[in-house]
Amino acid sequence: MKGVVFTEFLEMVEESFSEDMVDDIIDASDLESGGAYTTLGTYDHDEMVQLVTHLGRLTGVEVSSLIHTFGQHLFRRFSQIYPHFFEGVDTAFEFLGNLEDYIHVEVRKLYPDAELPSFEYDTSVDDQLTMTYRSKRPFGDLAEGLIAGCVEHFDEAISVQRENISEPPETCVKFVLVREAA
Amino acid sequence: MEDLERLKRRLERAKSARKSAESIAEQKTRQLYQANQNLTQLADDLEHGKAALQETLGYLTAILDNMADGLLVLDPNGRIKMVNTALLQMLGREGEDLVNRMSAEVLESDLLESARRVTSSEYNVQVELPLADDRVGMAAVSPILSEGSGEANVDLGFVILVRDITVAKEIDRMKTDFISNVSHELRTPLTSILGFTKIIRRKFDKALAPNINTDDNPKAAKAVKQVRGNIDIIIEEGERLTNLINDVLDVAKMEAGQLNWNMESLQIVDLIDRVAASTSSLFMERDVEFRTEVESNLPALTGDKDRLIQVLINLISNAAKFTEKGTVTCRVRRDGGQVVVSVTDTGMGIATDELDKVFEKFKQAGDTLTDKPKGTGLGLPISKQIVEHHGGVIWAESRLGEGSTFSFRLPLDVEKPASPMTTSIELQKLLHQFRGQENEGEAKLDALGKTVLVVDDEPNIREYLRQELETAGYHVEEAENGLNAIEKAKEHRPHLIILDVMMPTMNGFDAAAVLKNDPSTMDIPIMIHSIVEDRERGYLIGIDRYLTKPIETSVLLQEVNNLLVQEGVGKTILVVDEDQQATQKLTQLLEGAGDNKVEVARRDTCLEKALSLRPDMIIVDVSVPDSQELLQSLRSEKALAHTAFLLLAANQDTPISLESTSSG
Repeated sequence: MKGVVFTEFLEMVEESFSEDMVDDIIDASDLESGGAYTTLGTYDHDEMVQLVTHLGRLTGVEVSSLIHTFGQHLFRRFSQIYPHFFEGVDTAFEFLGNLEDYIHVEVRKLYPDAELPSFEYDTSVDDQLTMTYRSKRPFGDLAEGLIAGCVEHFDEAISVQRENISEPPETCVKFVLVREAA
Repeated sequence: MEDLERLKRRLERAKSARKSAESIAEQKTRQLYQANQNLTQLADDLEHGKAALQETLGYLTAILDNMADGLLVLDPNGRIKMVNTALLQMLGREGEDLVNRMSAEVLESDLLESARRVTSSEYNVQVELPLADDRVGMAAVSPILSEGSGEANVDLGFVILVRDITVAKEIDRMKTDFISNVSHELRTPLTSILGFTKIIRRKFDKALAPNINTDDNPKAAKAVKQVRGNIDIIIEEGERLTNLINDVLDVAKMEAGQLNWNMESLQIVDLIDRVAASTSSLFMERDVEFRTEVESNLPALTGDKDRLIQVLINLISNAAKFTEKGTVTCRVRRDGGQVVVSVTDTGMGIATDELDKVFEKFKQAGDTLTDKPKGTGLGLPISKQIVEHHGGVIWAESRLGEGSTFSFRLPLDVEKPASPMTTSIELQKLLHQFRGQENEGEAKLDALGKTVLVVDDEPNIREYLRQELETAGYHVEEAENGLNAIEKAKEHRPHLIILDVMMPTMNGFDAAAVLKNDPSTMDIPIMIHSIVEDRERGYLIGIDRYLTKPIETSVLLQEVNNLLVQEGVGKTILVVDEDQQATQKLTQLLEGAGDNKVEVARRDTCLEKALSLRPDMIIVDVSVPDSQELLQSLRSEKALAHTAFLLLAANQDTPISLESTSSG
């Protein structure tokens, strides 16, 4: 998992809770990196799982809810760090549609070792986008949070329905986005 | 204390993160350096490649510009993408920049239209292209196809090679003219040779041989037999030579595109019937049966009747020639908008590797050294050209020892319904033929006192025609050119003029035009008898018959007789039928076929009507009770001695079929 996800996560924990909370969850986890993350590095996704689990335990907030919130936060940050991915893109459907064939392609150029999830699209119904998320990692919640962040970013009235169709060890989640009539 | 510990751990983490970041940065810097090295190398390679490419391009351009042939490259829309110096010279546009202009603006011919007919890279289309200074080019158009993703080829446009064929065409025309002239020159003496030999044979049979006493003179008997045999050989070989000359002439004309095609609507069935009749003698000679299997209700097709008959005769007589025993079957079936005609024999067959050669000129399948059936080897190539001119294809299938099938397909006129007129047009002819058959003495009586003016600059031909016509009972006058013919026509007022075309002073066409426009001579039937084949021109002037030399004596006399009988075209025809609807249909048909006057009678009233009317023909429907008996009784009437009789039989295949019943 890319370092930016970890640095952004700890940043969010620091803002939302405290610096101490950051120390606490790092101390509570058994991390190969020792919790020293840089945006440039790549780290085991298991470290993220540990950090989130401990955050949930220490704060008493449900893990899935934490991840969802993080997803929204991460998307906001992406729009600030990588503005060129947003140039000339006006709608959430358009941005999400670009993920697989444009954004992930560009990401791979910069980070050949990045292990990215895949998305399948179905746009056969008007005002509806069905995205099927597939990953070896259990981050369906993160994907949902990112989608929510995207909808928020473009400020559109879009409802998101989520259906888990995972077949372990693969995570597979179908998101049905419906643009609501104005 | 605990806070201090925390701070220390944070510092540790920060240090560790910095180190890791530095290490990654260093690694990335090395990668960047390597990438930079690679890029520099790539740029160098590119520079080298560019130089090499320019050199190759220069080399190719030099080749293209020094080519003797013109080169033109078009994009799929017909925009010019490349043109070489040779083509610019051919088009008289040296120094002009034609690139990116539309080919239609620059060239007089619509090459793009031809180009679009080309569908695969193995195939190209050849079109003539007008060049500057009245020169002619031959353009070979091929598509430029590049293999794209998937199976579909990417259409990149067309490459067109243009060769100046002005000289080649001129030579070809000279060759054709030469062949035509030689053939014509050969045909004239051949007409005399064949004609006189036939006269000699007849005189020998009728006047000489019976008077030679051979009973106690075996030498004389042997000589008579030999002379008779030799005459037959002369005639046979003369006819073979005629066929050969005709074939060579056909090929030359087709190659030069000089052949006149008389395209008309016709029924393939009628052609098969005629061919079956004319090839029947071939089958009688040997132990071979001829069968036809014809699908009913076929639509008409547009074609040249004589040429298609030529194809059918060729295929059927070939089949007969190569079959010792068994059957020859002619099948006609419809296949969508086309008709497929096939001729299958049970003969010796053709080896697979020989099969392609049979449509090539002067080639026959089999060993050239061994005895093989005679022929020019031009029959199939001519057939191929004829079929292709009709928009059809011809092909052969065969197995050595098991027989062959030659087939061709032709497009049908699907929109047009089958025309019943074919039957009615044949009626006039049938009537004449019927009268001719009925009584030969009758024809002679008709001929008595009738004058035929024979016009030909060749004294031998005039002499030949005179002898034949006089034997048939006609009085003959002669003229040696067109001008002379007009004088003689006015002086003698002949009943018929037989006219040659190529004559000094005034040619046959001009003479015919004068005769047909002069009120005092315009009603005299004119028959062209010539080696020049230009029927269209002849019929435009108003010629009544057009025969090509050399001609069979019997055909000539038949045509002369037909023309003389035809005087006053309208015939009186009496139709005897009980069915009113059928009668009405037949009446319309007959009246439409010429200015025929049609009367209708029932069985009980027909004798009375026939005697008062004295019609040229009586048609009795088979549905009339005791129709045969009725015919017999009508025929026995003296007043109806010159009347032709037809028994009309109902038939499923044709709306009306005429079955002539002969007297006697």
